[in-house]
Amino acid sequence: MAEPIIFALNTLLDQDPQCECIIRIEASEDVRLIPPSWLSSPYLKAIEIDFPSFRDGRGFSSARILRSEMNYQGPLKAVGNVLKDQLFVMLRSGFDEFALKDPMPEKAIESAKTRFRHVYQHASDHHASIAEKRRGRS
Amino acid sequence: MYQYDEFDRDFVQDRIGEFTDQVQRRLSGELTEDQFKPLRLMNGLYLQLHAYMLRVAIPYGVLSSHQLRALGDIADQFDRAFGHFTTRQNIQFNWIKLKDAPRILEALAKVDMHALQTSGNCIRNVTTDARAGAAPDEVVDPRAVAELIRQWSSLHPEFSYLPRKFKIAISGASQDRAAIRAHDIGIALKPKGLDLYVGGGLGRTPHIAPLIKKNLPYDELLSYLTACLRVYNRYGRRDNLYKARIKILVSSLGAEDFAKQVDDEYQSLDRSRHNAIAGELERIQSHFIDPDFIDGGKLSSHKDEGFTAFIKSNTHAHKRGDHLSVSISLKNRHQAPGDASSHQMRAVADLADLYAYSEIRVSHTQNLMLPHVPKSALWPLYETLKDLGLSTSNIGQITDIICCPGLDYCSLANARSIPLSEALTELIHAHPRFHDLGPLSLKISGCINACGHHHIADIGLLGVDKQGEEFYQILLGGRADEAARIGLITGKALRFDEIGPALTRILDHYLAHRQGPLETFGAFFEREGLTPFKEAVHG
Repeated sequence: MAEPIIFALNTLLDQDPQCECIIRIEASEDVRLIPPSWLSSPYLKAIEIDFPSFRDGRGFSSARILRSEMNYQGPLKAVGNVLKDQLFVMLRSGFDEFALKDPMPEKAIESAKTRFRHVYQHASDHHASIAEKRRGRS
Repeated sequence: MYQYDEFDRDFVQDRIGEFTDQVQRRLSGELTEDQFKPLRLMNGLYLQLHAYMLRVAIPYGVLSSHQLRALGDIADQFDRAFGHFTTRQNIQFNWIKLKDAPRILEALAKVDMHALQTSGNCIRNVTTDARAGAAPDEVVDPRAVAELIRQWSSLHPEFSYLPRKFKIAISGASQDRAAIRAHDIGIALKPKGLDLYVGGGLGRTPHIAPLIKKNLPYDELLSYLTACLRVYNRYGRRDNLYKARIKILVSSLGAEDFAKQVDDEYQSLDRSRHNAIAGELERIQSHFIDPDFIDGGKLSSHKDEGFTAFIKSNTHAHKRGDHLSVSISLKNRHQAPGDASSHQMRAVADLADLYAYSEIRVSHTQNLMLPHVPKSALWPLYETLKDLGLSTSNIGQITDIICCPGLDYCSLANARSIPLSEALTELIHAHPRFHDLGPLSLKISGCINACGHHHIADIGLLGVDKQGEEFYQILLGGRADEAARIGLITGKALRFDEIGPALTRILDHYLAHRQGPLETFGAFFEREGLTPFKEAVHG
């Protein structure tokens, strides 16, 4: 089977996708410009967000907007400079796939998932916040 | 003050676990210094000129006596028996060994403290009025809002890799003692809502923050902050380190356009998911109740010149008429500004237990404060402080110098700051006519990053490098309060040994032409302007 075609945001035409594809978002691009018909298309296999440098945190906002405002529920992949020490905030922002340069990526992801027992904020990973846990306990 | 529960403690413990693992990977060589740098910076660990420095968070400057005692013990065990209090109301240990960092974090966690987000391009320690909960002009106690923001910003998933560091300050009194408009976000609390000033900052392009949002309801605060930070995270400049702060974004868009973008973002958020859950602010507020105030009595009638001077300059009115807030100056002739020895830290902790309901504050002017002191306790308190070398009566005066670590420690500095502050302190002491100048702020930064706040001082000094030699620019007429204003440069920079004579001419000009001793230096500058001072400095 053919690999999905990767589309850059500025090449998405005003029409629905016709074959299996991936949308790739650069750090400087506005995810809100993805047409809704692409987001809901069964041909869309994933969205990739690029991190040109580990210091560049724009992709975290892109992910949050995609997940919470645009209600995108498909695979969301962090590509580019992805460090294992950033997996915790990436997971929380809604990423679920990672182009990780690590000999044991599964172990790194598992460790990022379990490192913190509690979190202070709501995010895109559906963990209850500490404030909610406090309320549940009292 | 705020008491950690098991969730706050687990969180700090888990963060220590993560950082300990990162330190191990560095020590084993798995990580290079380059790879380790962003990780250590997320936890307050800097590599300075001579050693590692660990910056410990003192959230909004509030310390209990047992916390201060623990800081003294850490200074003994892991540093050279002293610590340095900063303009961010934090403390820095300047001579740390990398392998000890995890143990220091463990020692801090035992007293519910940490080093989270004291550096890196994230939301830093929230600062506020050192007199919070004690000052008579307070309208809303800022500590609960500050704690709410501390929790919300801790390891924030979206805002841990911002274009640049991000500083928030809060004031809840009619007089702004937190310099809120010199911060990325300044929040003014009012009984029914908050005003937000966004895009202030010092550094190489100083800005006084414009008002962006008026009367925001308290329960909408975290949504609005999210919108504001999201606009910054997405559109703040990342191509130039020196243009990456939010002030550049706000000034390039204009305050109105920036406010509109934030408002659009705010409207698009599912705000119920972002705001604090109902009752959380009230839960935090319930931690900041008054101590069980005793009858504070009256001031001792001791006829003692030193005591009288101490009362005049180091005490502040308290919301209860029978109490005072007492500043402990860390600016004396024997220590660098903001430094305290481990012995002094433990002794102040003991004094807080004896006389001041076990509470201490760190002020952004790098001094300590006992916020609640019964008036009758002032004399014995003063006597003990005197024995400790901590009774210097100079709060708000010219020798209460704000000073960055400068070239003696910092790898960014262009010039020395501490030796200059020492030389100028000696100069003031040597000239009795300068002993009673009234309120007058003198602030020194060793480089353009402006950690010493030189832009917002009556007299500001900025270290610059000219072909390998240290020079200093003199700025005059800056202000940090509710009428905040950036100081004006007097002219070309001067050599280290020219600064003392220039300062003498500035002060003599003021003394000769002021309208009596009640006209402060700031008021005088307002009336006279820069020109006559330019002549006084540069002839």
